[in-house]
Amino acid sequence: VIVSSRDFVCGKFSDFYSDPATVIPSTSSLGQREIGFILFKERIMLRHKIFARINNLKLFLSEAIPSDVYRSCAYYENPAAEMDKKGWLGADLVFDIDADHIPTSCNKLHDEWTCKKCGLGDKGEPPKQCSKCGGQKFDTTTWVCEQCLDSAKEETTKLIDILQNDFGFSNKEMHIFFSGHRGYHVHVETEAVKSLDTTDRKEIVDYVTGLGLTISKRERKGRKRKHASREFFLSDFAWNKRIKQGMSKFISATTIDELKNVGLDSLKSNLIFTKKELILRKCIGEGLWESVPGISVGTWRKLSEYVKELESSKIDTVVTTDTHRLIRMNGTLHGKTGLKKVEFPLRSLDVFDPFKEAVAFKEGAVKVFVSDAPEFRLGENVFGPYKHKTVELPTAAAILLICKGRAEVAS
Amino acid sequence: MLAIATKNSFIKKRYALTEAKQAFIDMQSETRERIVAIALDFGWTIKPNQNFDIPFKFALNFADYLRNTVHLRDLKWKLVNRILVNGQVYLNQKDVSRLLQEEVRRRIEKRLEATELPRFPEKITDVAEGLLGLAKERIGQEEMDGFPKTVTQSAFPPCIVALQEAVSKGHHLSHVGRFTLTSFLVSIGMPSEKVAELFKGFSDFNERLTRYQIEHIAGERGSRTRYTPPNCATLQTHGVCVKSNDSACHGARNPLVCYKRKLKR
Repeated sequence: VIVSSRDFVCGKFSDFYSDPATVIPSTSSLGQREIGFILFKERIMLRHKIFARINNLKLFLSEAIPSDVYRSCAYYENPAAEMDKKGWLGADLVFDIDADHIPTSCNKLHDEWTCKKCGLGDKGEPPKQCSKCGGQKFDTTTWVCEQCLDSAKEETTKLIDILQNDFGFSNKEMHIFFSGHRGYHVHVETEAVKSLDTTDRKEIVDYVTGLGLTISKRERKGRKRKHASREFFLSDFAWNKRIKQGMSKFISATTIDELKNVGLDSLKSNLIFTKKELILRKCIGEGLWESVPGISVGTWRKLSEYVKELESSKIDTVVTTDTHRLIRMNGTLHGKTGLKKVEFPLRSLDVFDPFKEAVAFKEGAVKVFVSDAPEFRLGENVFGPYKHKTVELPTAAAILLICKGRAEVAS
Repeated sequence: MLAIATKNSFIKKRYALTEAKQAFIDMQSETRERIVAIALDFGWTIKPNQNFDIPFKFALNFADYLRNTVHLRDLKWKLVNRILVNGQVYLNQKDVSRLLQEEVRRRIEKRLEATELPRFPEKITDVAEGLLGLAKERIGQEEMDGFPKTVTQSAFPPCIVALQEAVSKGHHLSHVGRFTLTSFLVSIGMPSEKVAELFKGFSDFNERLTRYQIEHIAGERGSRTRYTPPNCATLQTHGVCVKSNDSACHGARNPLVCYKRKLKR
């Protein structure tokens, strides 16, 4: 029997949702949330659904077999109504960190692009313009690698630090998830954030990304500042503290080349590099910012700006400001990978292994024809690289490749 | 009562603002306990600062802080430039008074919103009408003016020019980018069909869907709300602002303001 790849994946998703052993963790106030789906067969978005209990939802999933399941971050009086008649009651504060939005150490060399006009292609992110024909439209295939997810994890770690120390959210109020694809989600569920509107949330986004941060001058009472430009000051709190600590970290580990990236000329870069110890002790440690000749307020401002970029968290700004956002439901499958969105304890962020914890299909194997796939790992097993090859793979690995458009079920 | 009698929202707002500003001045010389009591009356979560390492008198819950700073444009009010520790924003008395000014203004505005009006004595209505006349003179033409009927490409703000360029080259545009461009063009009077033509170059172009979305933004469909472009601050957050040195941008709150200024050049 020849089974199309899509039917195969759909069948497996169906098995997953009908399996009594599959547990979809409940979502708080489920009945006040809008639920949405993308259906496998019709490829359309079904929205404005409502489920009183998680069991009803699971039953529905096993019958409708969606490729993706979403629920609103918002609470509504009537979640099934049209958008403007829903009666918005509030929303969780959500953050999305996606490897798509951040520079990663792998340089996305596993992604590929092809020029739509002339067919030229290469690895990595697509250029602005095709070098051969000047075309600007590309077909792309992406991959998800450990380095991508590590970079996303780093951004998540910075985000959690800000939410914990600055905003004061407790471990109970914050929920952290692997999205099932290229990143992490953080949901803050607490009364204090529910009623925040888009503008308030925008301000929180700006805080997390450091947008608009201005290093203040120390205020002096009574007399006018004579040399306004000769002042630079960082307090020991909030963003100031973050910049200060970040600066220490950066300067102690920096190289001359990296200092040039900051936008400093070679004279200054050399100076900072050779006087590292003194700068760390006097300027940063004792707050005598102008005690090293040649390192002016201007230099400190440039360094602050650079360090701010390192210390801020690269979240997807649109997700957090949208008070009606639909976000993937915990415990459901991602249509682009066949991996689950999973929650894990905040304290294990460091050691969390998405390629193990998010695997949904643990049994069986299937023969697939792989067009092109880099080496990858699921659980303890490493696969590939494959090129134009028919191989028998465990179900989870086969589904990942098929969903990413890298393989077909072999007939 | 006079402000209510004018039935004019501009006058009411002006009155509320003036009263609130006076309250701001008065509050600066109040005791710390009184300030806390006033703030609690507005439902704030605030307490005198007990952390002596931090040189500020008050600790205010960040959500209350945000609610009262959204209209304040100076960068110093941005949360990122504040001492935020454990959910508390640390503030001095002047800043707390300034935020309370916002609450006072809103409370007065609300009280002036009376919909069922009594019959006022003639003396009152006379004065009210006098005020109304004065106000109309003062508000001037500018506020009343809409945009001219013709669309002037050369007066487009830098962010819009960049978006347009990206569209014409078929580059991918973020959702915020598309919305900004569309709502801007619709707001300055470009007909929906012409806006739709712009988007034809996209690989995911779907004429019916595009028309539907544009008409939605133009207020010709659905909720009938006509959308204006997001404010400059929002465009910065989402990376749509191109941080241009254009003098028409300086201090502008919205791309439409920039367009208006450039039209006058």
